[in-house]
Amino acid sequence: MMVRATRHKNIDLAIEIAGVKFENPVMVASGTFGYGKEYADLVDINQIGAVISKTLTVVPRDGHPPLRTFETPSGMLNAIGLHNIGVDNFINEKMKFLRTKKTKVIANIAGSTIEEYVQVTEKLNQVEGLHMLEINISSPNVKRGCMEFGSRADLTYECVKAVKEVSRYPLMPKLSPNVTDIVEIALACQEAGADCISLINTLVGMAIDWKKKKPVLSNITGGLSGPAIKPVALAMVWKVYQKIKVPLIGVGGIMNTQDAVEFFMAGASAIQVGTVNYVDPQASVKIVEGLKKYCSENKISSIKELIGIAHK
Amino acid sequence: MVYQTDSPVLENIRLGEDCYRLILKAPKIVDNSWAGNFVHIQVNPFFYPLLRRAFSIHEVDRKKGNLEVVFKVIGAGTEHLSGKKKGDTVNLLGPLGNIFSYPDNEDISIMIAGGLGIVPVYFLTRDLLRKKHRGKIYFLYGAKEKEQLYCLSDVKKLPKLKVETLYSTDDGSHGFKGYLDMLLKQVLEKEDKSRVKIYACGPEGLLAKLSHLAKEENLFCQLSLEVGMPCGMGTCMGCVVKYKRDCSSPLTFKRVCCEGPVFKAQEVILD
Repeated sequence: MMVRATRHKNIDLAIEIAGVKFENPVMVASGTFGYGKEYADLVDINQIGAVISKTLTVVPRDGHPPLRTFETPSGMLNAIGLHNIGVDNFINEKMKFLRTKKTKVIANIAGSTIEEYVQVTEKLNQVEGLHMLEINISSPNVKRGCMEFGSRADLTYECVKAVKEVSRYPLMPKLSPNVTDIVEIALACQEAGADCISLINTLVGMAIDWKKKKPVLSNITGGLSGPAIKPVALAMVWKVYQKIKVPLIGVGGIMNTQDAVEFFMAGASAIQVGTVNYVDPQASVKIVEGLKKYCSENKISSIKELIGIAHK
Repeated sequence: MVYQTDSPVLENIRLGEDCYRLILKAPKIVDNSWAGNFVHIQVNPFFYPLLRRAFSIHEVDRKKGNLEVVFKVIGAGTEHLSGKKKGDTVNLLGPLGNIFSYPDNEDISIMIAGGLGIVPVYFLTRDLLRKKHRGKIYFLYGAKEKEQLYCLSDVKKLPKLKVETLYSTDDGSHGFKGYLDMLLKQVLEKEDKSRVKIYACGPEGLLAKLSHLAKEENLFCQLSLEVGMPCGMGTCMGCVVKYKRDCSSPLTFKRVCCEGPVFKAQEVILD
C-alpha cells in the first residue's frame, strides 16, 4: 500500500534553504532514486521534500564493468563509476515528469575537470523546474574529478567557485568523509559561495572474494553506504555544524525517523535518504510521516526547533 | 505496474538439502506476472541482511493469487528466508524485469533448465500449457546429480503428450550423463533450427556456452540472467551485464533488473 499524507495540525515541516522553500526536509539522495519516475508506481513523489537526480555529466557515461555492488554487514559497497544518461538526456527526457510534481528538484552534477562542471551547469541553467544543484566532489569511484577535488580544500574552493560564477541556482556541494579534516573542506565550500552543504558521501571500502582470491568489485574499491556509516555521518554533521554558517543537509545511513531526528539534532537543516530507498522505496515518505508524529508527540511546532538542539 | 505488498507466507516446503519452495499470496503481483518476471523480497524488516533478494517466479495460481519461488540457501538472506513459516509475512516488490518472448504455435520451444535455473523456464512452460499452446515443447532439465534436480516432481507432472522431457546429470545418476548443452545439440540435430526457440536459465558457465552456440549457429535463444541486485528498479545501476548488440556495436552495460533479466543470448557477454 502506498503511504498517504496525513494531516497534523500545527506541525510545520517546511524549511527554506538558500531561498528554496521545501515542503518538508526529507530528500532522496543522488543515485538512489533514479530520476523519480522509476518509483512513481510505488511512492507519492509529491510527498518528498526534494528529488536529487543521479549524478549528471556533460556526456553519457557507461561506468565500470560488473561487479559494481556488494552487500556488507549493515551496508553495501558500490563502484558504479558515474554511469548516467548525460545532462542533455536528463533535460530532454526526465525533467518533463519531475516538473509535474510538487517536489523540489535538485540536479547532482560532476565532471572530470572543473570545465566540465561548468559546462553541465550552463546546460542546466536553461531548464525550467529545477531548484538547486548538488555538486558531486565526493564520489570515490572515478579516477578524475569528484573526490579528486573534494579531498583538497584548494581544489574544492576552485571547483565550487567556478560553478558559483555561472550557476543561476543555489549550490549544495556534497562532501566526502574520506578526508583528514572535513571542516576544512566545508569552510572552503562556504568561502567559495556554497549556499548549503550536504554530507556525507560514501566511505572508501573493499571486499575480497576468498574463494577466487580476488577483489569482488571490478574497480577494486567502492563506496560504503547504509546503516553501517550512520555514526560516521552523524559525527561529521556535528563537527561541521560547529564551524559553518550555511545550512547542512545530513546524509549517510538514515533508515528511519529516529535516524533522521538524530541528524537534525546534530545540526542538519534537512536530510537525505539513500540506500534505504533500495530496500523500501517508501522510506522517505514514511520518514516524513514519522517526523510529523514525532513533532506532534513532543509538542514541537516547527522542525526548525530541532536543528542543532543537541549542541545546547 | 509494480506493487509493494506485505504477502502472507502460505507454505515453505523443503525440497531437498538447503532447497525450499516458498508459496506466497500476492494477487496483484500474480495478475501482472509473466514468465521471466521476478519478485524482490525483503527477507527481514529490521534491515539485516540489508538488501532485498531477487527471485524469478516459478509458478502462479492465477485463481488463488498465489506465487511460488524456489531457492537454495546460499547466504544470510536465503538462510533467513528458509525460516519463514505459514502465517509470517514478507514484503514483496513485483513483478519486476522483462519477460521471455513467448513462442508461436509453429515454433519448436526448447527449455533449458540448469539447476535452479529451472524456475523461469518452468513458469514459461506452465504458462504455455495454460494458454493451450500447440507448438512442440522440449524440457531439458539438468544438474550435477539427481539429488540436485530439486523440482523433479514438478517436471514429472508436465503432460507427456505436450512436453518431451529430457534429463542430464554430470555424474549420470539421472538421464543423460553430461551437460545440458550436449543434450541440446542432440535435440537440435533432429529439429529444423529455423523454427527452434531456446529459453534458458542456469549457471553462468552453461549460459556462456549457449551464448556462443547461439552466435555460431544463429539460433533464437533467450537467457534469463541471475545477479545480485540492490534496487531491482533500475535506479542503482548496480546489476549490469556486458552487452554488445552485434559485432560492430560498442561494448556497453545493461541493467539486468530492468533491461533484463531476459536477454538475447547473442547480445550478452558472459565470462
